[in-house]
Amino acid sequence: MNGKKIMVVDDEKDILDFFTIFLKQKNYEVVVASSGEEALIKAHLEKPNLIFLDIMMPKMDGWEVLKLLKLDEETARIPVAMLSARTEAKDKVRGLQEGAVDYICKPFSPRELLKKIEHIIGQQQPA
Amino acid sequence: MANLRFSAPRSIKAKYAVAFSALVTFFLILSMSVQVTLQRGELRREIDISSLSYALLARKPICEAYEIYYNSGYYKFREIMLDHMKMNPDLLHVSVIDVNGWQLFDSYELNEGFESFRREQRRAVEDSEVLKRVRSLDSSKRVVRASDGAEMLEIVAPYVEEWGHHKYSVKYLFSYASLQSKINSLFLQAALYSLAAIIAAVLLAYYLSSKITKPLVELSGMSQDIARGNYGRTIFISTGDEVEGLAKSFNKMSTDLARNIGELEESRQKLIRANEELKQLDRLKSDILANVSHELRTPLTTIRGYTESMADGLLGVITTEQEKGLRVMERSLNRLSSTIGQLLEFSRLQSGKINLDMRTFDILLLARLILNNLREEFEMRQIYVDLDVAEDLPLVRADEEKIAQVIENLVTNSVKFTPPGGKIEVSAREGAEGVTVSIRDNGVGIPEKELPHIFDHFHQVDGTSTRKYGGLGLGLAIVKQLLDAHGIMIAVASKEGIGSQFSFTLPAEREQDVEAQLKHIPAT
Repeated sequence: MNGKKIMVVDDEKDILDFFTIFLKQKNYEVVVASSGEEALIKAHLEKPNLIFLDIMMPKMDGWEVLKLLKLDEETARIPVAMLSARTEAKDKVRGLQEGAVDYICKPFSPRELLKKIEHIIGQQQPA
Repeated sequence: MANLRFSAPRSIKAKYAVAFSALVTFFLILSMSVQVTLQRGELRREIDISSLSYALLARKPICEAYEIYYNSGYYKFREIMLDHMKMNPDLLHVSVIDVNGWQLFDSYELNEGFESFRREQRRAVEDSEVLKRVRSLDSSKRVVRASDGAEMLEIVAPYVEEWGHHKYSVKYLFSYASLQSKINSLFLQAALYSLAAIIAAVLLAYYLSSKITKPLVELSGMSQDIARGNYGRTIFISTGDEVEGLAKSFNKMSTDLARNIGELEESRQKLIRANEELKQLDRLKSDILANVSHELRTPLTTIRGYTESMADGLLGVITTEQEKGLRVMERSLNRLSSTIGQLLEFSRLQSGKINLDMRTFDILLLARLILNNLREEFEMRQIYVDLDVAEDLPLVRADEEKIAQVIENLVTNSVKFTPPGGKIEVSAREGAEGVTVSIRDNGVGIPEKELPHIFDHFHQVDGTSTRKYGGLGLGLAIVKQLLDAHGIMIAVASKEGIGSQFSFTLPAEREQDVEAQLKHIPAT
């Protein structure tokens, strides 16, 4: 393990499974959440180094989760990257405006994703 | 109330009241004056006549009484004279004067006392005028004025004895006091009549004018009511005159208005409902699109994820054959992804109006970014790409994301139709109208008869089952839609076997434009 913890939030189990397998291969510790509520609790408990957040989820959508993460002092400083099937520019802009560090469109290239992770976490200051 | 006195009357009532009263007053004053003048003349004449006849009748008894009693039985004389004075209340003064001018008797002595007068003996008449009249054999009269200004009638009547001897005359002074009181009572009468007449006139004026104003006020109130929104109110007036005519027209107008507004309101409601429905449909479309997008892209995510990971050996060692297969899968996935992307984008553009997010940006940077993203594709297809943009090119103003899409689609299109070893050139030049962006290739070109149709939806140059070039035929359609939204035209030049060139012109943002824009920023 390289000591970095990544949280993935998505209501699709297949996606969570993929992330788990893929990121573990790259020596990252993985925390999964399949709903917004679960995400908020686990983010608070686990304090991951990076959160991938799906937008289109039932009950609480990604935007709401993002807002609540940023409101909570404990989780506000964790970098969040939005994940979405929506590719419209205005969604990308909204993501950045509301505090996300990146906006990744589905389907994404895992290679590219790895580069992004390194870029984001690599920049992080030690807590 | 003070200022009311000086302003012209405003209401019809007041106008009528003032007019009527003025008229009545004028005529009353006129008739009063005429009346009084006539009456006064009459009355005076009456007094004159009665005084004169009295004077003439009384001279004999007075003079005889004087002769008999004055010196011997004064009190008897006094009594007789007093009776005379009482009999004629207008009689102020009597005096007996002899033809030599001596005043023998003066009625003042009846008051003052016989003694004092007698002591003064006879007084002489100084007025020569009177003397003359006393001496005359004719009776005469004249009007004299007392010290207080009151008018009196002075009559001098000669007394001629039976045998023609004229020894004395009697001078009388009659007052016009009764005249005055009669005149005064006339005035009073006239004043009372005037008052009554004026009151009657004002009442009449009020009554007549209210006949007019009442329906008018009603009409006015009704109009205001309609103005407040109670359309269709009608008024009932049956005065039989022009006001009734007005009321009828008014009613017609009111009902017409009510009907028209009713119709308008209905249409408005219909429009509102239709608008709501449209909005709902719009929302529905957006939701469906988002849902479709999600459903298509989510499975693709896992497929791509595993394919790439496996190809990179992350999930275990793989054979060369397996790797080849996986790479093919990757490429297919990309193609599928791109097609889905185009379809969804096209759908999105079709279903909603395009909102432009206008920005000022550097076309050079944008072009570089796009070409960089497509680098792998170029390498794989062995196509040489050249970016020819001057360094000092002005910034352009447009929706950056959409122009990015435009350039990407045009380049992708060129890539599709350019064989390996070919060249694509992306250039941007400053012109009179702005910055002209061109994408040129030396690929297969477009047949002349296809040129007018290349921007049509789903258009394929070769639509047969043995298609050489894949794709949906949406890339150029999307380009056209996005540029149309900006009001920008796309130009295409092409020759089969030689190549194609697509170009469009973006408005340039010059420094003065920026400055001008800065000037419009409100001070904070």
